[in-house]
Amino acid sequence: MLGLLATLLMSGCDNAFDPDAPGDHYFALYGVLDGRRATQQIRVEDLAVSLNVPDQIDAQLTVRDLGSGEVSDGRDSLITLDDGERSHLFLVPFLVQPGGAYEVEVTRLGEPTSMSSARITVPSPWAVRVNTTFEQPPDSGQLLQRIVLLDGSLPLVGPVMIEYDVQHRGTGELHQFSFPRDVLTSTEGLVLSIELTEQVESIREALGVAPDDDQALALERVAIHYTRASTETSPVQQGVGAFGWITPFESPWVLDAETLALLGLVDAQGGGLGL
Amino acid sequence: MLVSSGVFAQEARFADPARLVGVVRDAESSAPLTGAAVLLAAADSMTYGAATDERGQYTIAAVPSGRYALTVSFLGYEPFRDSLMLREGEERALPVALSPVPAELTGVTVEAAPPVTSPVGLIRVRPADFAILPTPDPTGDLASVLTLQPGVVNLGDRGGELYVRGGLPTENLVLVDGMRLFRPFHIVGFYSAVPTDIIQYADVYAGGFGARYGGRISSVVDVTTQTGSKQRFRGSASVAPFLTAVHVDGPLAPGHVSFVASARESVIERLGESVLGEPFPYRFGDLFGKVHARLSPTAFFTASGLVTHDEGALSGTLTGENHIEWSNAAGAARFFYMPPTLASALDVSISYSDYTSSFAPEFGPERASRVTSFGGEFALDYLLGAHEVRLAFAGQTLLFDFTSAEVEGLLEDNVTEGTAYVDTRFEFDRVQIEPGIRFQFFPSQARSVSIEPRLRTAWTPVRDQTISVAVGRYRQEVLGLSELQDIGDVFTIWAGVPAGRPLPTAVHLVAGWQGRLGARAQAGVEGYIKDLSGMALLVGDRGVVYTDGLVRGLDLRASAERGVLRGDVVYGYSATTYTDNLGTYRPPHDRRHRLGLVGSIEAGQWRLRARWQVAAGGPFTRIVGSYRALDSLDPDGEFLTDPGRPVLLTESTPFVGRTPSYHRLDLSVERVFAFRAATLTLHGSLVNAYDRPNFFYYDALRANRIDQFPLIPTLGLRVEVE
Repeated sequence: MLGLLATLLMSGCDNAFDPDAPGDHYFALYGVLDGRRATQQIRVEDLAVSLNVPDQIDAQLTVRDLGSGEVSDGRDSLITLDDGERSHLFLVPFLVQPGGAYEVEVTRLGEPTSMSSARITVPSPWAVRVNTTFEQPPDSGQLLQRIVLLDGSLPLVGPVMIEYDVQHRGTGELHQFSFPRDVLTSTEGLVLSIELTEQVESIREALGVAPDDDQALALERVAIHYTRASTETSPVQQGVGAFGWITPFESPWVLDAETLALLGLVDAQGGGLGL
Repeated sequence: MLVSSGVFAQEARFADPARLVGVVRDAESSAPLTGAAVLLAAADSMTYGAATDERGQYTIAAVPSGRYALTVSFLGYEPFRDSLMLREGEERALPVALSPVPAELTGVTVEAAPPVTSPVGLIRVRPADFAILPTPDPTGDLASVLTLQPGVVNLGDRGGELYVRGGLPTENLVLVDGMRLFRPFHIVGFYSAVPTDIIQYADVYAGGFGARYGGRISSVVDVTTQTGSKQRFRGSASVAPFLTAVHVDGPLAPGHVSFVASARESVIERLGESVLGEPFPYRFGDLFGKVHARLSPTAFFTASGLVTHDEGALSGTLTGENHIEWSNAAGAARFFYMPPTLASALDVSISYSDYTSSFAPEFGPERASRVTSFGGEFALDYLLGAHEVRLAFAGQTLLFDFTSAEVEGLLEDNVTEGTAYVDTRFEFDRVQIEPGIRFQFFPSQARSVSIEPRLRTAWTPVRDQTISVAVGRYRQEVLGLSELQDIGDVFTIWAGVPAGRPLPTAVHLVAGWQGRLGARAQAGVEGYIKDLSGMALLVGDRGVVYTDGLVRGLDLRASAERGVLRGDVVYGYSATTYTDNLGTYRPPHDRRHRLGLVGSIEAGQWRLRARWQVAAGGPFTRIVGSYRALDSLDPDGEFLTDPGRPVLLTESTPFVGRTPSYHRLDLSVERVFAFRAATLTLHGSLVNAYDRPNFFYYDALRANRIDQFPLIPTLGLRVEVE
């Protein structure tokens, strides 16, 4: 009994309580890489800290462009959540490009093994295939072109735009015009019908070019602009959280010489006026 | 039981012996006296005797015809003496009323040590047992006695939950005059729903209970309250920092009908900060009433009612985050009749109980639970010489209503059960055997009949030395789910066991020795095993987990008194393991060692009491981390300020960590001032006298350690008037 009492007493002198499981402690990361912004915002929580968020956390955040190898450092800031609590938001200056791959890493200061990371891959733009160019109504001179964004799918963010880069040969100025278009889904991808004649006539009118002047305007580029967002998130390794992305895409295509002739445009596609 | 143990009985020698039966009561209050000695002395010095049971009833069987000197005695009462002639085969009913004598604090002479009769697993608590324990106020409470017991664990001084020999709080059956209480303890752990003033006695079965109790698999606390004085009015009032209390009892129809009324209400939430320097966000109280009608010397009717309320926050403020509240409302009525010419008794009772609770955590949706039960029992007791057979039929319906995302759609919302049991008691020379069997029927759930055999036996080889064994099978049809990993979450969901799942079941084996060591000391040792199966637990994000368990333990107790001094030592070792899809582990209430030392001095008008308890720490699940989970990422960035959903990450292997050990010293001192018609008691106490920061629980989302109560000095006053 005395021995038991002594044992109980000795253990009773120690009143310390350590609730933490041993091992590395990681982070919670949440973010959406946004190709529309020059600075990315990533929310970071230290899992070891509880919900009482301190002014500073022992964390360093970097984003590595896996294509170019460029590394961008994040800068910590505090934000107030909708319930009045706080959270840490890291601001990282880098551009998100279609076709890019990025590695987000958060490392505990002084503990390089306590690292949480996520890899986010942004897909490349969809390729364009011209299906057919035809007059609608027949013999009306109104050219329509039906193109397919191969493997394209919905949803998209915002409208799809047809964008023309046109040079006024008289003034030498470059102008950009955009026209919204609806898309339809098909087994091959997204299908668009583009009213080429109507759109070019709008451009002529806007620039004050006579309808029959087929040397006044040079087409430098035509492309489809659309914005996509991730439908699935990228998980965080050695931590919790998720990442998404949202980026504008551009899928150009080339109008053939016959079409350009019918539209009364000089071919400057491929990077400049033809000599 | 109707027949008391024959402490002094001698072997019957003659044909057609006579039998003497009766009830011994307090002449003023008509309260039955338990343990009164009834002695028949013949001219040839042959003696026959018995001690009264919990109902004050005695039976002296197998008495040869002849003339005897009858003596009935009980400590604190004038002895009753008479002579009587018993004829061959006569059965005489002889009720006895003893007149109390004024109690003296000094010079009380005990001519003979009271017999040790408590069989294994049973702790019989009487008001005198409260007198040795320090309490934070002058009134005392059943909780102070219960928490002293070696096999009883309370995880903290808040929350109102007791674990008895490895069983969960929801596996304890707590009855007050037959009223079933689903949460019998207040949010401040010093207090139960039963103040000392109203307790006549309480039987606490830590295991191995007989067939008359069912519906729970761990323990039974059966409280019988005072009946009130049928001769004069009595009252008391007390004030102390924790609560105020008022008690009144007296005659409604002198000599026939009496009442008891008691009310307690906490004041600690108002006084805590100003008097003790820190907030105590707890509010609780209880209200009790009883009417007792003595219809004849062997028949009575009684009706009781009890209402309790509790609210508070184990962390935070009274009305702020983590607010919990609950209430009990219960009532019962009982009719008991023992015909004077028949060796039998009729015992009919009905009861109703309603328990409501709600919990508003800081993070997460509000939860609510309600259980309503009503039922009745019809029992017949048959006396067969020195033996007794009780045959009973009972029925109960429980209705559940709960709001909790973790269990929605998983549990039954009503249970109806029928019960039939046979509980017997056979008295031989030195052996007492109590076999019984209980049948439970579940018509609302189409379950097969549950058959629950029970056996209790005691052997007294020499006087005041008893060896006893109890074994039994137990089942319960209701579940009480509390978050197992979060000690601070004391909210409980009550519901029926889902159809298709087996009922929680336990098999108990208890064996022990109790004995007197000289005239002034007694000791006991008791070992137990409980095999558990089918229990339901709520474990974090794993939801409802069905588990089996094994409990093994050993309780040691010893007490001694010398003059004005009394000392008690209790030690309990208990090992509980659970096995389920989480693995094999020790649950949080598995506190392997508990040691309690109690000392009291009664010197003149002064009473000094001390209690020191030590307990080993218990298991807990370690924390990996916490964060705010975002369920969707809006491309436009609105998620950046979304508060999210708080998530606690815990270690995949649960209950690996260990909390610190616990020890606490409580002291109290009283000075009694006796006046002609009143008694004034000044009470002072120190709870946690050396201010040890004992760990209670850890709020992981806030990284906040909550300790048990610090040093609390109290000063109280009690006035008793008669």
